[in-house]
Amino acid sequence: MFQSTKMYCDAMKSDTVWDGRIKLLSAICGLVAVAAGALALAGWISGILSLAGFAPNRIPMAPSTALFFMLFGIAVLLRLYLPQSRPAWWTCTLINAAGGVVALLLAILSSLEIHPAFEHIGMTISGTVGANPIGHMSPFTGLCFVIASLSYLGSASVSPSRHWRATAAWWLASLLIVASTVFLLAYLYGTPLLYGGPVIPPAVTTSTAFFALGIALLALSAPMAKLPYRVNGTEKSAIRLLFGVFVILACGILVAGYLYFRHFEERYRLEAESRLSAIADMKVAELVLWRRERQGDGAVIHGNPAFSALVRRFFSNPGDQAAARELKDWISRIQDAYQYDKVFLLDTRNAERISSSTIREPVSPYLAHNAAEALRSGKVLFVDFHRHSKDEPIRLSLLVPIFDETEARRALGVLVLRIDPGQYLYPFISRWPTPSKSAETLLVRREGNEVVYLNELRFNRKAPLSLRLPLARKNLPAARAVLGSAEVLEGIDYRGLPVIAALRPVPDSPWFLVAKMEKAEIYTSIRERLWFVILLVATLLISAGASVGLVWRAQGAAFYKEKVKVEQERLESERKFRTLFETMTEGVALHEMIYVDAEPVDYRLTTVNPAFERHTGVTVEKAEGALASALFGTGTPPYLNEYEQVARTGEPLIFETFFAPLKKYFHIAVNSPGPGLFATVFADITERKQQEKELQEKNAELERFAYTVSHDLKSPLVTVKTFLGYLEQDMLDLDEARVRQDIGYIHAAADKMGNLLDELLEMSRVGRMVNPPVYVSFCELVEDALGAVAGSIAESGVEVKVDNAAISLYGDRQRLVEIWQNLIENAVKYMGDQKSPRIIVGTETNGDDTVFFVRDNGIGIDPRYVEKIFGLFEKLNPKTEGSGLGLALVKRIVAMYHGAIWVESDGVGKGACFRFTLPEAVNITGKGEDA
Amino acid sequence: MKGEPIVILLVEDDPAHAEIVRRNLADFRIANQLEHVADGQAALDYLYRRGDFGNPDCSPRPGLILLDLRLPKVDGLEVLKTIKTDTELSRIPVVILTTSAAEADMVKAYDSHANSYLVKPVDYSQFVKLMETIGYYWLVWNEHPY
Repeated sequence: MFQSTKMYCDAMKSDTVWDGRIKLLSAICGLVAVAAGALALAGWISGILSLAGFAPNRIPMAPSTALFFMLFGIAVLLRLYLPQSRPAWWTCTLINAAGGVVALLLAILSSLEIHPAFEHIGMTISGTVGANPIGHMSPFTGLCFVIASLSYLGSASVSPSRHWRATAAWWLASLLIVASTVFLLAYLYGTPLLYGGPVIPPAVTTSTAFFALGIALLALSAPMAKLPYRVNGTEKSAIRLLFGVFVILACGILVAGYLYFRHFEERYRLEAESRLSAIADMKVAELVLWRRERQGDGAVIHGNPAFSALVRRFFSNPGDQAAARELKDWISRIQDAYQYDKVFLLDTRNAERISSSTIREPVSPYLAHNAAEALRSGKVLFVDFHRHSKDEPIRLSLLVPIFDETEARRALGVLVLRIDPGQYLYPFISRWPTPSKSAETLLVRREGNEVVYLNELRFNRKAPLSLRLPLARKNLPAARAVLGSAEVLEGIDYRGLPVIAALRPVPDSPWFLVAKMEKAEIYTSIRERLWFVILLVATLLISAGASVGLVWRAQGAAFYKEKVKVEQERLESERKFRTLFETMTEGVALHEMIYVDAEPVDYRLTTVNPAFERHTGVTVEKAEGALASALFGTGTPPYLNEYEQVARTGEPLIFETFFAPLKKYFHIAVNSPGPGLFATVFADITERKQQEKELQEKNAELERFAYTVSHDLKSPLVTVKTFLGYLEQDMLDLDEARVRQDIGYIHAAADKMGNLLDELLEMSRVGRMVNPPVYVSFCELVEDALGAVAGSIAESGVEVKVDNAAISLYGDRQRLVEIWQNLIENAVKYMGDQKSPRIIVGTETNGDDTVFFVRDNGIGIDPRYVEKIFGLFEKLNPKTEGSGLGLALVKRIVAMYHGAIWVESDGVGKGACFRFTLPEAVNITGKGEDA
Repeated sequence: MKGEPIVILLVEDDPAHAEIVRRNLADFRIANQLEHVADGQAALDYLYRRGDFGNPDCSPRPGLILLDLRLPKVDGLEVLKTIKTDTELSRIPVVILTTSAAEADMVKAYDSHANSYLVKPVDYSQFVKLMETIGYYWLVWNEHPY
């Protein structure tokens, strides 16, 4: 909770900053799209095509595409800066709707290789890149515009209920970005897609512009889009979804990286191979040229009559100093001119007759043999790399046979032009035109089943003629060369290292040339590129991950924002309801039913409010979790059937009940918040019930009163009226006795009415408390009462005994006195013919209650009438005085103090005992005294 | 008119009213015997010949009962119910003669099978006329299964 609140705050804080940044980003991207379109159009108009395509051999952005970008970019800018304007809104919507339709049309036409001329928007454009005509929209470009227009329209005027449209717009924009990224990457890797095919590829500027447009559209739709932070309610699946997006991105990046690297490797390898081939070819050509020059040198001497004559002259006369000098001059000149190691002349007996060098060397048998061969063939003989012994340097020799031109071609001798390969040949062969650490050229020839290395090797100076390797080594480039291969191949060289070698035979010679380079060196640059690619891929992966993460975080923030809002609302609502729950005057309790074998047996209180405690006296702590059966000591759960029905059916129930354990009336509303659960809301209506009961009693009494009045008042009226009628008649009849009788009846009736009215007045006064309550003792009350009836007591001679009880009462003193007064009066009245009339006034204790009594030994009461005597205007004996109000009055006063009054009598003639309680007066007294 | 005159039992706690009834009957020279009791208990005692009325000669079976409703000891309605639920007495016509014009009383009386319900008029001449009518109706015209 805390954490999410924090996130929420962060999100709130960054909101405005973000909005500003997003707006700026969209504006920049929209501008880029407009600029790309404008640049391309400028390029087309000015004829500088590179403005539209960035490179001469790349497809340029079509004028139609350029126009589209300008319109779409302007639509984005209009949305950003005139968000309230209706005309702007309509313009943008129209641009995008129409643009989408036209782009779709162009995409279809382009994919069918139909290229309408209106795409050139009035310009004259012709030309192709590869097989594709320029100035037309690629079908992919068309599709991208369709996507862009849908995305734009999707995020335009989104109502809160249509978030899916913005969401779709967001995804479409993402798709646009991904597609343009693929094309851009392909350009960046140097392997532009779709080139060389029948379908026009999108231009690099187009891809760039789409990338910008995509970001602008993404930013436009993002604020309203609802992205899956949670799918099916769980974060996990949303993570999976985003992870999936990331994986797809990563796979794309990795595959693109791999493909690019392979492509580069292949290209570089080819380049390296062609370089090797070129070097090999060049060297071979030079070697051929060199050999031809050497042959030429030989040819200059060979068949040269002047030289032949000079040799003959010298041989025939060795002492001819002039000839010798002249000959020496020739030889020196040849040696100097052509950089020969040594030039010398052998005679037919292979004796060295004259030499350019002063050092005399013995003629080797190999040379002698070849000299003989040269003489025999009569042609210039090229003696390949050779040496006389291990220690001697390697030489090549050109043997020029000298014949006597005058005398039937008699052999005179052989001129040996000895070549030191170390002087020119070896450096030339070893020379490499580019700086390289491992590149070298080998010159080899075949000898039997061996390949013999002829030149000094870069890594083996002693190789010439001593390094011999068997032809059986198939992966040895030199072996493959002498076996006639003239290709570029991979192999393992003499040092056992992998190399790439170009093999060439040297024409007109036993030589084969191998131009080779260590694979490792070639791959150094490839490896460098590999690192670059890995770095690029890693960067892209990280940015893809970061983008996905950003989306996740942004959505997370939005999600938590909403969640926190909901949570706050929930808390607020809960607080409100909790306050209501805790402050309401009705007791509330939540319960769960307990079933045993599907039979409801009990229920448990789960939650109760403070009012529950007030109403029931059971503390919240004790009530919560308690079983209903145990809570009130009832043994069986109260109202189980009613509650079970509510919990089962869900039908609310409202009832009023007297709850015996608490001796209270309750109004209970029961409803069910779920199966097996129910809640009770109850109010203590005991007071109301009591009031109702009192009201009912009052009503009954009133009814009785009205009835009695109508009857008892009417009755004397009837008497009066009727006897007045008789009186009239009797007076006419002059019947004096009857007149007297009539008047007597009338008197009696009038008196009765008077009494009745007095008592009615008295009765009505009892209904109201006349005097303020005071503390008064039992004895005082009885004394007052006895004082009031002292006359009749004295008259009847009744003995009154009063128990001396120390009880204090609190109430209307006059009313309380009336109780005893009436009861004593009553007792005196119904004393009958008792010889020793006696009345006892006292108190008893019955449990907690104080019971007052007035006992007499008078006529007593028939047990059948013990109830009736307390009725209003009830009299058991019509002949007795009074209207029958006394006991009714007493009952009324007793009732005012929440007491009860009853009479006990063993029967007629056995006396009566009136007992009554006054809990209200007595109990309050106790409390009052304590205080 | 049959041989013996009908005995009328008047149950009335008010002696004045009892006097009125008695006088009226006398004025119209109705020779019937009028027995007067002052409360419900006495009425029942009379009918069942108990207590003070133990002697059947002193308490002849009435042919008409004039019953007031408000009576001491046993209410008039109780008396009526007792009479009407007793097969021996139920055929005796019981005329309620009361000052109460309360509908509740009438309903209760008729529910307890009172034969007639009469309200004592306040006016003298009316009372006289009523008593005359009762006399003629119940004692002259009304037939009785004896």
